[in-house]
Order: sequence, then structure tokens, then C-alpha cells
Amino acid sequence: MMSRCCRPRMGPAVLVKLLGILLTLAVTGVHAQHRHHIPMRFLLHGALLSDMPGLSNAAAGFGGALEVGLRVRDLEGFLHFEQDSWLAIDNALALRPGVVNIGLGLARYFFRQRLCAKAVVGTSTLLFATPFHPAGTTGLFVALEPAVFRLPFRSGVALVAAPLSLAWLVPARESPTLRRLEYRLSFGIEVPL
Amino acid sequence: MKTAHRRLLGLLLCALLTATHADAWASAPESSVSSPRAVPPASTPTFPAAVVQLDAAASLWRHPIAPHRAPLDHRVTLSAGPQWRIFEATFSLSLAHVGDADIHEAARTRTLHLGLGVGARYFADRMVSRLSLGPTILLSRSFRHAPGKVGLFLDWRPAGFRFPRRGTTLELHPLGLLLQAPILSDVPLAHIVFYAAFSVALRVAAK
Repeated sequence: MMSRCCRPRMGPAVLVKLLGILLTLAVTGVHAQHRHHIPMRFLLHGALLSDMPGLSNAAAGFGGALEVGLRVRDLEGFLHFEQDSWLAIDNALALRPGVVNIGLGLARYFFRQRLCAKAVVGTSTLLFATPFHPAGTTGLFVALEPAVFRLPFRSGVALVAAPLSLAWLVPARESPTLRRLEYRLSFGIEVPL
Repeated sequence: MKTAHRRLLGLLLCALLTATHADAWASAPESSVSSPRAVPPASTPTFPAAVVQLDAAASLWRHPIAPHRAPLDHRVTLSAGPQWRIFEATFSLSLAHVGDADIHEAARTRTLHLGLGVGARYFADRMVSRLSLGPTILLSRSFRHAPGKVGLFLDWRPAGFRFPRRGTTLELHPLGLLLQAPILSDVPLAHIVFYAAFSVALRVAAK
């Protein structure tokens, strides 16, 4: 069995470097043959119809995200950076700093790029200390957005909205594991670079 | 059905969805974001039609801390209604089993929904959005509530994928939201649940 000290870890810095290499290779490979776009998206999200006492088992939170990607035809790879604040309702309603999520995503566009399905995988870093985990603890982040509506304008700017999406956050993998399941509503704007 | 099986089913459905849409639009010309007229014309009928639909829904993704407390164990719906152009109206009858979020009351809540809904199909009949609401009747008994109480429910499916095949259409709704409150007074009983749904629609009459 591999000891804890030798277990490989993928932190945010490694992920960012990996994305840089992938983007460089992708731009070099496709630039000469295909028309490509470099979109940047500013997104806001909320999971507010969630962890109500006695109503739901999902988690409540809200935050914002920045995405920068490379789109070739109807396929896009992108870097996802987001901050997700948490609403704690154990004793009284309180706002926690939550986590920072950094990930690599893949999007597939349909219907003249008016709809896309997205998936993001990356790291989730805790921004505050819990009784069992110090701030900075890093774990896993997975997001699935099966339907993102996109309204493009002639200027290249587009409005985007995902009526329902799913985010799985595991900022602390060590026991006791800290996990959250968020059902989100998100919207934002996309600008070309 | 076990949790692992439901997750596997979800992954398979997502893969099917991606592959089918890729095939359906593979022959489409190059994208043109500046010209909405470039969208292929809808293949939906422009005459009134009646559709009967059988629908099954369940929460594929369980609560991470207590997976045995499924928000929506399962829900079966039978609906029917007319369609006109891209719009549709439905009357639905559904039976839902919802896990109770109260940790001290693990019993499931059974409810009957009588819903009136509206929907719109778009993107060449490949997508659909629906909203339905109406009364919900409590069928199960607990130490706090007696069966027969009548409340309200609201069901929202913002984006469903449609796969039409002649007179039959398969639908996949990756994420939907159900708000139900069978008891509004005294000690309220209400649920907010998210689910995935799969349905088969059959056109039974068309002019």
C-alpha cells in the first residue's frame, strides 16, 4: 500500500500548468486549419432552493465563476475558476467563505451554438477552517451542466444561462470527509477575446 | 434500485444523449451565430394533436452524507394533452414517493399529484421545457399527518432532450425540480427535490 507521504497530489498550480500546456498545443495544432474562438465567460450561480430545514438534503450556496477557453467548431476546452460561498443553517443562518474551485472543462455545442453541455473536473480548496479541517485543504470538484442556453449577438457577445446544473464538491477527502452536492441556477455573459 | 445502478444509468443516458445529438446535427451546415434564421425549420406538426405520455423519475444523485435518505425515491406520471405548433398543454396524474428530510422520520411520503401544465418545444423539436402545477394529495400516514390532506405542487423541467421516432418520442430530462407541500397548515409538510426523468410519448390523435 502506498504511504500517505508518497501519495501523488494534484494541486491548483499543477492544474493551471497542465491547462497552459494543453491550450498551447491545441492552438498550435488547430490554428492553421480551423477557425477558432477564445471566449471568456463571467458567471454567477446560486443553489438557494436547497438545504432548507426539513425540506431538502442538498446544500445551499452562491458565488461567481470565470471561464476562459478555446473553441474549435462545436467543441471547447476551458479553464474554470470559481468561488463558492456557503450558507450554513445548523444553528442560525450564516455565510461561510466556502471554497475556491479550479478545473478543466469540456463543452459540446449544439443547435448553432445556442445550447451546450458542459463538464468540469478539478480541485476544490477550503477557504475557512472547520472543526476537523484547516483552511487550504484541497480535494475534488466536479460540475455537470447538461443544458446551457446561449443567446449570441452580432458583436460576438453572448448571454448564457443554465437553469439547472449539478456540482459535487469534496474539499476534504480525509476522514471525516467534507462533501457537498449543489443544484445550481447560473447565468452570465460571454465575451470574445 | 441501488445507488450505484442509478448513477450508472445516468452516465449511460448522458452518453446516449451526446451521441444522438451529434448524429442528428452532423449534416447541419457551419455554425452562424449571427443568423437566427440559419436554425433548421421545426419538424413539429402545425396542426392540433393529442399526446399520451408515460414518465418515470428518480433522484440519481443522493445525499452525500446519508444516501439512504433519497429525496425522490421514484415518481410515475401519466399525462395527456393537446399540442399546437410548438406549444402543448397537459393534464397529468402522478404518484410520488419522497424520502422525508427529517432525520427522525425516515418513512417515505407518498403523494398523488393532479397537474395542469404547459410546455414549449424548440430547436427543431429536439428540446422541450415544461411547467406544471396543481393540487397534491397526501396518501401516506405518519405520526404527525393523516392521509387525505390536500396541498399544492409545482414541477419544473427547464430543458429536456427529445428523440422523435415517427409517432413515438423518447424524452430525457437530466435535471428537474419538484416542489410539493401536501400540508400547508398546522405542522407543514413540504419537500424540495431534484430529479432526472425519462419518458415515452405517443401521439394518439391528429387532425
